[in-house]
Amino acid sequence: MIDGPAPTMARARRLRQEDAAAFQVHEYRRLEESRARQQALGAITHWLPAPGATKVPQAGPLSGFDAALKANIAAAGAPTHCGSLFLEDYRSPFDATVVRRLREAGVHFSAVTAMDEFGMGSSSEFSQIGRPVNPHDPRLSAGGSSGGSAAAVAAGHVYFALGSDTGGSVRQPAHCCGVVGLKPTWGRVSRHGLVAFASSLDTIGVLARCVADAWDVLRTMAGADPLDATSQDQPALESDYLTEQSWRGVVCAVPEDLEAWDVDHAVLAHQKENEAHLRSLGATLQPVPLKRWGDGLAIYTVLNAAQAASNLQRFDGTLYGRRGAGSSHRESLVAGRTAGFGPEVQRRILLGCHVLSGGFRDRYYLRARAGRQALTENFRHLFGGADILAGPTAPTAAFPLGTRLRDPVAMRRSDIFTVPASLAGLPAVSLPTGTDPAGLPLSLQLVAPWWRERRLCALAASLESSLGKGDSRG
Amino acid sequence: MAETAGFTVGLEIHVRLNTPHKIFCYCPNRADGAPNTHTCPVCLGLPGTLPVLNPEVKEPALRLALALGCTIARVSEFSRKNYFYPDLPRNYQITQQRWPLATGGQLEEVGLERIHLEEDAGRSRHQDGGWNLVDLNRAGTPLAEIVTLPQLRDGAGARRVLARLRQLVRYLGISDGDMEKGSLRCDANVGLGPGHSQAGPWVEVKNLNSLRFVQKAVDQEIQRLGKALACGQPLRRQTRGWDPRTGQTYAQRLKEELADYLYFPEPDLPPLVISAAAIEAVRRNQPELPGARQARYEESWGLSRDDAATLCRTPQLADYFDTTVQELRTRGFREADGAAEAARWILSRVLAAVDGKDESLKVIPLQPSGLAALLAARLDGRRTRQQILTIWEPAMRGEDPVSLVEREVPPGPSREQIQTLAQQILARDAHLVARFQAGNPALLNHFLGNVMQATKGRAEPRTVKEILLELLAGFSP
Amino acid sequence: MDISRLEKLAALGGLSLEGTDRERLRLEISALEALAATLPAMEDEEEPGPSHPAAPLEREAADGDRELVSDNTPAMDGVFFLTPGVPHRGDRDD
Repeated sequence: MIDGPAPTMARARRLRQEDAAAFQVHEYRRLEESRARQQALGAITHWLPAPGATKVPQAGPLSGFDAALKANIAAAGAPTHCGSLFLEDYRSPFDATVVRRLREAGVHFSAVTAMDEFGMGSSSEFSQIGRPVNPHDPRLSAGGSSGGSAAAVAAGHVYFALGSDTGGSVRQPAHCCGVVGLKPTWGRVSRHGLVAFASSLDTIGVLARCVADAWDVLRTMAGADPLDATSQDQPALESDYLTEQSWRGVVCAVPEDLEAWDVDHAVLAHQKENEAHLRSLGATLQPVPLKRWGDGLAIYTVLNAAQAASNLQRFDGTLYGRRGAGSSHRESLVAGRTAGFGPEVQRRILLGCHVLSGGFRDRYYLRARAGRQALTENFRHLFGGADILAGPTAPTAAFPLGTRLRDPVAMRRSDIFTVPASLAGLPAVSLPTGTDPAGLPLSLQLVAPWWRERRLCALAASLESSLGKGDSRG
Repeated sequence: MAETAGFTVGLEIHVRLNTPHKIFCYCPNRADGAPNTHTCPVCLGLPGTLPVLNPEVKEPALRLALALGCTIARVSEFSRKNYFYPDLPRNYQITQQRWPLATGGQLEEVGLERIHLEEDAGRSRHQDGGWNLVDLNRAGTPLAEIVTLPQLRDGAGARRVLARLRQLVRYLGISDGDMEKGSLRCDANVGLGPGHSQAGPWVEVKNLNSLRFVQKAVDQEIQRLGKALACGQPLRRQTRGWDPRTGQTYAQRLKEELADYLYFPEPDLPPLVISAAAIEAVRRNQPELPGARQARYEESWGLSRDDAATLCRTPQLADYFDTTVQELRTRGFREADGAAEAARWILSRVLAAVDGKDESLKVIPLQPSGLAALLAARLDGRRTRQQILTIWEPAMRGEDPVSLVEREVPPGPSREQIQTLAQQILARDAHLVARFQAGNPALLNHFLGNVMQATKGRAEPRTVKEILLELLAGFSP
Repeated sequence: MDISRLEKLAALGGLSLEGTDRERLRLEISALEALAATLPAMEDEEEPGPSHPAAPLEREAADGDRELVSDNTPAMDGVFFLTPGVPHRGDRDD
C-alpha cells in the first residue's frame, strides 16, 4: 500500500484517517524492517519498551507517533548514557521537561540514539556507545553530535527525534542525512533534563522529515519552565498550525564571499542554485559579508571547552557513573574519569581548564566573551536590514568516516556555518534542498532573528513545498 | 633588626540564612534529619538538572547588607567555583565571585569588603579506617558570606566582631547564629600589615565554630607568625584547622600557590536584579537593631551601659524586657520606673532561670504580663522586696502571679496611712525635727525606724523615706 | 604548551595522563590553542560585568526578579538575555 520513503507525521495522519487498519499493518512492517536495518546503521543504542495500552490517545498532531531521544536527554528509567562509557549504566530518575511535555501530547519515545560523547564532535565517531553511519552511504558519517538522531529519522526508524544543538549538532547531522534539523532560540526550550555540555550554547532541537513536523514538535515542547531559569515565554511563540509564508518581498541576506571560505565546489554551486530559486520565489537577496564569522570557531572553541570542563566535573563516580579503583576518593575519581571519558572529551576538559586558569583567562576566555558579543552585534545589525539569512549549512556534504579523527581542527571545520547562530543564540533550520553529483544530500540553512521561529519555519516550509519536498498540509 | 609592623586579621564569616528552602531548589533548609533525606536531583547535581534561584533568599540578604551599611549592587552575578570534593555534588560551588550582592559596610571596628550569596556544601564525617561519610542534606542550603577587611589586630577584636554579628543576625531574624550548630562559621586570615616587607595574608584558619576558639586560634597564629619572623624563618602560606580537643591549630595544607578555581559566570542563572522598591521595602521594615535598642534603653530609660548591653544581648531577652515595661506602662507606671524595676529583677533573677538559653524566654512559665503583675505590686510602693521574693519561686514555676500577690502578700499601709503615721511621729518629736533641719541628716534613719516600728515593719521603706523627706522639708512646728 | 602544564591541567580536570600519548595530546591541544589565539585583542581589557560602564540598563519590574536585562548586556557569557523590542525588520509582520 505505502512504499517509498518513510512518511512524515503530516502524511501519516492523513493515511491513518483514511484507513486506520491498513496504516497499522504498514507501520508494523515498516518498523520491523527498520529494526532489522538498524544493526547496520547503528543509529539506535537502546530500544525502549512500548507504552502500556492504558493511555487514551491525545487528540493532538503528535499523538501516537514514535520518536527517538538523543542519549543526553533524560527520560525516567531510560539510559541517559551521553555516548560515554562513564554513564553506560546510568538511568535517569526523572524526565526532561521536553520529554514530559511530548509524552503528554501522546508521543511514544521508542529509542535512544547514538551521539558523540557528551556532544563533543561533528561525526558521531567519538561515540563510545554505538556508532551511527549515514543511511545514504554507510562509508560516510551521519554527522554529529546528534548523528544517531538524524540517521534514525532519515532511515525511518522513528517519525522525529530530539537532538541537542550547541554549535550545530542538530543542523549539521540533518544536513549530512538529508533531513530537517531545527534549532530554537536559546531560552525557547527548557534545558531541564539535557545533560549540560556548554550551558550558554546548548539547545534542544528537532530532527524530522519535514518542516511542519519539526514545528509541531517545537510548539509542543517550547515555553518557560520553572526548572530552567534561562527559559522564557517572552516573546511568546505563536503556536498554532504552521502556515507557509510567501518569499515574495522577503529581504534575504546571503553570504557575499563564500568563495573565500574553504567550501566544496558542489556546495558553492548548490548555494547559487538555491539563491536563484529564492529569487524566483520573489525574494530580494542582499549579499552580506560574514563579518567576524571567521572568529566564530575560535570563540566557540574557548567558550565550549571552558563550560564543558566545568559541567563535566560532577562526574566523579560517587553517586552514579563509573567508579575507578583507588585508595582515596581522589584516586578513584581520576581513575573512573580517565577510563570512562574518551580522548576527545579529555582533550576538551584539559583545554577548558587551560583557558580558565589564572594567567590565561584574559587571553582566551575574556577575549572569547568579547568576541561573542561583537558577533552578536553584527547579527543585530544584519537583521536590521534583512528578514532572514540563507546560506549553506556546512562547507561539504557528508564526509567519509575516519578522515577527520586525527585532526580536531579539521573536524571542527564542519561547524563554521552553524557556530555563529549558536553564539548569538539565534533560531536556525537546516533544510534539505538537493543533492551533490554523488547523490549526497545538500541543504540550505536559514537563520532568523531572535524568537522568530514561526517566521523561520513558515518560510522554510514554503521553500520546501516549492521544491516538491515535505508534505503539503491539504 | 626586628621589623615593626602590625599583624592583621581578617575574617570570612558564613551565615546560614534560615529560609524555608534551599537556595537553588525547594528542598527543606534543615540541618537535622536522617542523612541524605533532604535532597533532590537538583541539589544532588544529577545530570540534566539546573539551579534556579529561590527568591526567599533575597530579603534576608538585603536585611543583612542594609544593617551593615553596605552598598547594594542593583545587578549582581553568580559564578562557579570549580574544585573536586566529596561533599560538593557538582564539584563546583555556585557563589558570587566577581560581582557580589553588596560591597563596603562596617561591623564594629572593622570595615567590610563584601557580602555575597552562595550555596553550602554537604557535610563530611571522617571515620576511622579512612572512610568518609557524606551527608548532602546541607548541600545547597543558602549562605551569606561576609568578608571583612584585614583591619583587626588580635583575637579579642575578632571575637568582638563575631559576637556583634551573631547578635545582629539574631535581631534581624535571618539566622539563629548558633555557632555550634554551624549556622555561623568563621575562617580567620592572619597576616602582616602594609608597612611590612612581607605584607599580606599568611595563614588561614578554617571552620572555627565558637567565639572562644576564634579568639584563641587568632592569638595563637599571631604568636606563631611572630616567632617565625623573629627566627628569620621563611614564611609560607598555609591553611590550618582547629582541634578543639587540644586547643591548638594544626597544619592542613600548604598553599604553595593559590588554588585555581577556574571561576567563570554561572550560565544557568540570570543576573540577580534588585529593584529600588525591594530595597525600600526592606529598609522600611527593618527591625530595631541592637545598637539602637541599647541606646534607647540608656537614653530614654536611664539604664546603665552594662545593664542595657546585657538586656540587649539577644532579641528574645530584649523583647521580654521591653514587653514587661510596656505591660507596666498600661498599668499606669512611668516607663523609666518600670524599666528600672524590670531590669533589676530580670538581670538578677530571670536570667539565672534560663541559664544562657535566651530562646527559652519565650516558653518559661513566667511571661512578661505575669512579671509585670509582680512588679506592679512593688512599684505601687506597698510591698517590700522581701515580700515579693517569697512568692518569686512559685511565680517562676507558673502559679498565677496576681493570685499569689493577693493571697500571700497582703499590702502594707497605703501612702495616706504612712503619711498620717509619719506626721504623728514627727509632731511628737518636733525637737528632733529641728535638729535634723539644722543639719543632722542621720536623724532620718531614726524617724524611718520609728515609722517602720509603728507599721510593724510592713511599710515599704523606700516609700516611707520618700514621705518623710517630703514632710521634713515642709515641716514647721 | 609544555608537558608540566599539561600535568597541572590534568590535575585540575580530575584526569590522569598515565598511558596517554602525551606528545600527541600536547600537539593537539597546542593546535586548538593556536586556533583560540587568533582571537582579536579586546579594546578594553577590563572584565565587563554588571557595574561596567557598558553595563545593563536596568528595568524596573514588578518584582525586580528575573527581569530581562537590556540587550547591552556586556559579554556576560552564558547570561544571555535577549529582550523583546530589539528593533529589526521583522517587527512589521508575522
